[in-house]
Amino acid sequence: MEERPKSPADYIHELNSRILENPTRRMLIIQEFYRERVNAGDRETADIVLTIRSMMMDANERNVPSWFQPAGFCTGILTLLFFMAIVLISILGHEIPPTAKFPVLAVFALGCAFSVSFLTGDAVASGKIPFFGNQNPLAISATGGVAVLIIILTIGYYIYLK
Amino acid sequence: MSQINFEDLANEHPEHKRALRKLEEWRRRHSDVHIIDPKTLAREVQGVDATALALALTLLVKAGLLRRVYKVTTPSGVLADGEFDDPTQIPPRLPDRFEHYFDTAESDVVPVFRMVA
Repeated sequence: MEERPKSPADYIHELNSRILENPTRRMLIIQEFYRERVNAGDRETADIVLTIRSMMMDANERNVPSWFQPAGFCTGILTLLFFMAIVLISILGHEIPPTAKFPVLAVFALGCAFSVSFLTGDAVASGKIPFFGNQNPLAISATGGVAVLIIILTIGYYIYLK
Repeated sequence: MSQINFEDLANEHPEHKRALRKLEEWRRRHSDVHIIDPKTLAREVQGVDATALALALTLLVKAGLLRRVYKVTTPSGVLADGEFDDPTQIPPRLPDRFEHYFDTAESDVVPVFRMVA
């Protein structure tokens, strides 16, 4: 039976398997693969394979849901509106009762934490924060959110509650 | 990359017409861009798969409208400044954007496309 000629998808699969077997030699494996295709008189396929691979890897790395960015903006705006309402109520002569101080601080901290978390996750995944590359956007997003929550609760406790 | 170039190519290669049209639309929206990163392109061009886009880009390279060069990702995930015509030319060590040298052994190779003329 005659063997089916390999498609770019087959070559991508082959190349990725070789890299997964030995990720510390990624560059050498890519260079070996390229040299092999060039020696086989098929440089064009090598170029196409590396181009498709680059696009596909990016799609795999962008693993935060598409609603992250709008959710970040909405949470931020809702938090802002909540505090604008409190300011308005204060201007009208009402006061926040002492028992409501912690819930107010909690709303502020959670609002900021969710907003930062969603926006950071999206920014990391889309490569807008070059420092992180676009590795583990969800982990970076969660860490950022938790950090903001702790910082605001701590500062808020000493400034507003104590 | 004028409209006529795209039109001519699309007529010569009807099998890539859809991808070329999408590329032309993208190009019109990003007329100030001189380097095309296929990752960005794949994210922003909807309705065409990666293979079709890569083949269309290759047609533009063959037509002399684009030049394919290879770049290397630094350990922090951004692209180093160096450009290579061929991945086999990439040296074992390269400077990053802060001129600190890094080992390229574990780095990835990213093709990018430069506008010609």
